Amino acid sequence: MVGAKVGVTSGRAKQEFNDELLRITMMVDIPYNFSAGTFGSIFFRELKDSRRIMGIKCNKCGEIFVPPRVLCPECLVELSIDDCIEVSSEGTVEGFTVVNFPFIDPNTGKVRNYPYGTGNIKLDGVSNLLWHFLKESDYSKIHNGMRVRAVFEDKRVGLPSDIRYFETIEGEGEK
Amino acid sequence: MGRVGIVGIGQTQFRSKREDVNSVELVNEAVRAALADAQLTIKDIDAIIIGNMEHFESINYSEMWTIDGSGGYMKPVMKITTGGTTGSTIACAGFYQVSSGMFDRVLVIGWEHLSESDTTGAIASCSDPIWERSVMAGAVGPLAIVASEYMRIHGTTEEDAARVAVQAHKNALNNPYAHLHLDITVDDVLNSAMLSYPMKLLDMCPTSDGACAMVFAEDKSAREITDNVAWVKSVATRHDTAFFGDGGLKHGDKLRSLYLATEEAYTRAGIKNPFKELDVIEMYEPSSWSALTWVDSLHICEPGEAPKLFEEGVLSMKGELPLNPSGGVISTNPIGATGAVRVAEAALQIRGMADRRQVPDVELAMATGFGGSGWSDVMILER
Amino acid sequence: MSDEYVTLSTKLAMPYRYVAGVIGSKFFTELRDNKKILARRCPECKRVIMPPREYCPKCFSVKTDEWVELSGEGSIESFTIIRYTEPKIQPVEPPYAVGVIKLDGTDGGLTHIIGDVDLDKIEVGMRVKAVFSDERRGNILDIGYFKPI
Repeated sequence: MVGAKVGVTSGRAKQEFNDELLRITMMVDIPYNFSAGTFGSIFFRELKDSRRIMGIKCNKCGEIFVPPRVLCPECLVELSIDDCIEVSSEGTVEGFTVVNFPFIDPNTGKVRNYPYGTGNIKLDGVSNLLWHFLKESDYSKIHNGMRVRAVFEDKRVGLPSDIRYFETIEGEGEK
Repeated sequence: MGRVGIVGIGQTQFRSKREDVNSVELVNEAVRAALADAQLTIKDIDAIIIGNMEHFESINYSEMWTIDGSGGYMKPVMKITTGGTTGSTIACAGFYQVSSGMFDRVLVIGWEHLSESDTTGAIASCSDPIWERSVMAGAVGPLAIVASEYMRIHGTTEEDAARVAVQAHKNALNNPYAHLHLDITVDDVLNSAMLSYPMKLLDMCPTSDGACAMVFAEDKSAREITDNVAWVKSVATRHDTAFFGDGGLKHGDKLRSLYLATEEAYTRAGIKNPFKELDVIEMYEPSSWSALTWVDSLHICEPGEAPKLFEEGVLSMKGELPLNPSGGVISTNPIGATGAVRVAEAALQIRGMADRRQVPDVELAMATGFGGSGWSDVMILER
Repeated sequence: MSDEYVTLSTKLAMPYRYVAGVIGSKFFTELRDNKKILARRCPECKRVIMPPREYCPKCFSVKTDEWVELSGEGSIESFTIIRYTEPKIQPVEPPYAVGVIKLDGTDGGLTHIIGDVDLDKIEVGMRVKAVFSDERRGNILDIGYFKPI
């Protein structure tokens, strides 16, 4: 907890009466510190230091999952950090959408920028899907089966946003 | 274990904004309607289960805060918060509590005052804060991704989905409690704003204010209260993994949890051919696209056949197996109450109390709930 | 970020818009416009409910049907002195006193600030009265504080 700032930083509540019915508008704004844990930290450290995407290979069923985690989601076997392996940073779009409406981003309390493309990406050799941003935000230019590759930030801090987005691999067609 | 039945049902008017009542009064409106239906007073109630997604109103301990409305003063009260399934889980929990023999009469209440927050932002905060929150756009985004998967697997068109929304809104015209009463066409849906490809405004459920309450009673007590009981025949629940990339929602062909939960509920109820045996279904369908994938998960058709069932009218009010006579979630979505409304509407069908939305001669009805990364509740009711 | 384990320091920030309902709104309107503190009487048990509610939480039978104007005077049932300054969620600068005040004729306590008082001399049973704020906006701080009579 060293250096952690604790406190509610909300501004004053605003209120209005209309037809003599009272409404009170306020911002609830609470700081949190979320822990990535042992396996998550391996993922972020490798991402930050080496631009490597880490997964975990179940030592029972052999399936590979991203991000690494302590239990195999399919057979519930306990996994160890030795089961972590590097996976491909290229893959295929299995499902996508382009978010095209305003809503409050709970990370900021402000409207999130839109439109933005997001997709469920099946990294080559991996069993499950990684949900991340797509570079493309024109839905007519995205299709399922499209090949994409991860683009890393130059300055990486050890968070999912170190992968800026997945960009289309031109000319590779479908897989 | 003796039988458990639903003997009282109360719903508020569902609207985009209920500013005439605070949340306590909103809860109270449904509670009074359910008690009146059962001709009971709060003194007859042994325990209370209240369901609410408290981040949508940012009131922690909402079971405490609403106690003046729920009637829970000096009674055993339990709160349930399971996302979209909150309302169906309170029904399951009411059934569990009465089945346990602990309580004879349990009041379950689901409620939401969604106009008090930005629902999409609030839902986004249900996802893992490190891994997925910055990508997630409430319910719309993930459901749109599943829709794109369903399209690719089955060659489904945007028109197929639009037809589902038109049917839901048409049914809602018969339901005075429904939030939206829209007389719309397929073209209206196709021309509505693109929220998140391929999900358009009229494909998606609204956000509603409202509450729904029900009284569950054990066999003898239920028969003393009324001769018109909706008996619980079977219940099943399945949860899925947390990451959206792992879970039920990655399977565009079906909702895994619903597929397994309905299978279990049918087995427990001795149902061999659900399409033939069920008389009506109240399914939790947060969007037209979801309805297609979800119908494919009910063991009533082959994978990919849902669009055809809608197109041929099989699931319409006059069809062989009417789906959501109430207008479903597409017409009304007060999140903590939404699943409860499915159970309540199924129970009204069993009891022959659904007025203009009544399906004739209902003996067996199924209600489902959907929530979170793709989990499901199923409750089958009988006459 | 430590060398070994990753922590994401972020926040959860959302705007909310609460409604007071018909009865709550009437209470705040009268407080703002006429410096009146209103409660509701339960027709069954005759208790005067404060804050005013549509139904008596104890009888839970019929709607409350009568507005009762209170004198604004009452007794301190319990109190504490707030001395901590973080987190900054205080309505006034600490140190200050907060107490549960049983308003005369009502069945329930109102939690509010005790002001214009020597903090060392506050005691349970002390008689106090409401002091209204000059600028009233229709919220519970339209009563600025309760001061000893």
